[in-house]
Amino acid sequence: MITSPLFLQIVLFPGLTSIAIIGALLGWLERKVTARVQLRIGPLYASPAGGILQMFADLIKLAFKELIVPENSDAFFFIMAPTTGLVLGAALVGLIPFAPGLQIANIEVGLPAFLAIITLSPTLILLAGWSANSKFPFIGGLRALFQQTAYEIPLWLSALGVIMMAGTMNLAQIVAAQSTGWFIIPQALGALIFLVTSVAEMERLPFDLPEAESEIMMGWQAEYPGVLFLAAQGPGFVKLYAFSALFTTIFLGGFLGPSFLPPLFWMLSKTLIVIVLIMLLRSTFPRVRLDQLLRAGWTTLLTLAIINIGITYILVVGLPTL
Amino acid sequence: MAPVIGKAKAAVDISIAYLTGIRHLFHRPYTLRFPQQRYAVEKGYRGRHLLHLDRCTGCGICAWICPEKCITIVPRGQRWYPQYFYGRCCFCHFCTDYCPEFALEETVEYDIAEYTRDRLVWSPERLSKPPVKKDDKYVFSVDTIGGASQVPQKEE
Repeated sequence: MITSPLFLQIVLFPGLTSIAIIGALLGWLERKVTARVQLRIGPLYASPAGGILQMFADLIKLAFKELIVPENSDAFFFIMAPTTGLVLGAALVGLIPFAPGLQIANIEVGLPAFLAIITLSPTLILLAGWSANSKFPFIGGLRALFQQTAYEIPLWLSALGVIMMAGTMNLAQIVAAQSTGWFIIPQALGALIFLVTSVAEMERLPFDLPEAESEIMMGWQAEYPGVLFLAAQGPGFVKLYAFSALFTTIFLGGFLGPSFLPPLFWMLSKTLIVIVLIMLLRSTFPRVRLDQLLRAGWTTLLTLAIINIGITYILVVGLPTL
Repeated sequence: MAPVIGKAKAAVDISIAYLTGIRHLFHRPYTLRFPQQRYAVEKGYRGRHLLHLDRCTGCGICAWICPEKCITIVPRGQRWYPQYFYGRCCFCHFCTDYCPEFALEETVEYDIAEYTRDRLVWSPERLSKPPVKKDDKYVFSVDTIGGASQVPQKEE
């Protein structure tokens, strides 16, 4: 049982161990990319190779901090919400095909299942913000609820275009359908909407209203100490990894590529490029206001997503005859 | 029509900002790792003083002109020499300009910070040692558009 391929996939790659390591490395990569955009050097001294162990040093520091649960908080939900978020973030990676056969759960409804797991996260964030019994976490939780609910609909609709093109909801078959051409070319508008809405779902800048450091001091994460802060921060990076892998899978041809290198290489390198492009958003754009964010989500993005479905219909079926 | 033009302009501005971010990724950083890499200083930079013990007559003009009164004239055997307190020195180098015997000289050494205050008092013997020549390959300039770059040092 220990040596069965599925068990190894769940434990090692693309499962839990690799998710933990990649999550920590993404923290380092984010600091490094932000530093390079600002013409600085970034983490440097934590290892001979450009401070790559910086996040592990931070991890050790956080692990040794005292675990303080606020006195009037709801301790069960306070601890349960971020840890469940971490598990849900890890569950997303299990649906992604990293190479032919290298996929933990090859289910028929892979793409809707991915988006359905994402739908659970605003509930958890609101629960975390409410259970802390404090002002800033509650404001952050409400903002997360507003934002993620508004952006889920364009997210689903932009993914619908891909399902129409491929004729299937199975992620491995979506990749196979792209052997003639990547979906980012016929689905350029859909890819843009998907990228913007997924950045909003990940609560990253410029849509990081739920944790806006300068306004509400990390929002729903404000009361979390030590290890729990790590558990609250972790889903962000795991979701970044999972969303970039999904974007690669449904728009950039997944593991397809020239055959002189293994499919896993193409998958991971495309994912890395998408991750860096998403991280660049953080260092180039300021945070938007809540009303701007919601107006853009409910009007512009929703309209564009519906237009994209119309374009896809014409591409797949042809012009409707009247 | 005006809102559409405004939106198009905003989209162009956003893409310019994003492309600038991408361009910066391949740009050399301006930060110097100070103790290992140091700024190239221009000729005539006013760093700490160098005292030539053989030329100094101990006349005390340096101590008299010093605006911060950081120079004390101290005896060494039969002769008198200036002693500097760098906690107060403003590096105006009036003392160097006024010295009638050209016993004082300006050096390019600027990293003379110490852990304790009394270490900032430089005795004439310490002042008379020329600055240690730093390794030339670590001298950088940040005056360029391309980020911090190495400066070729001339042989002296």
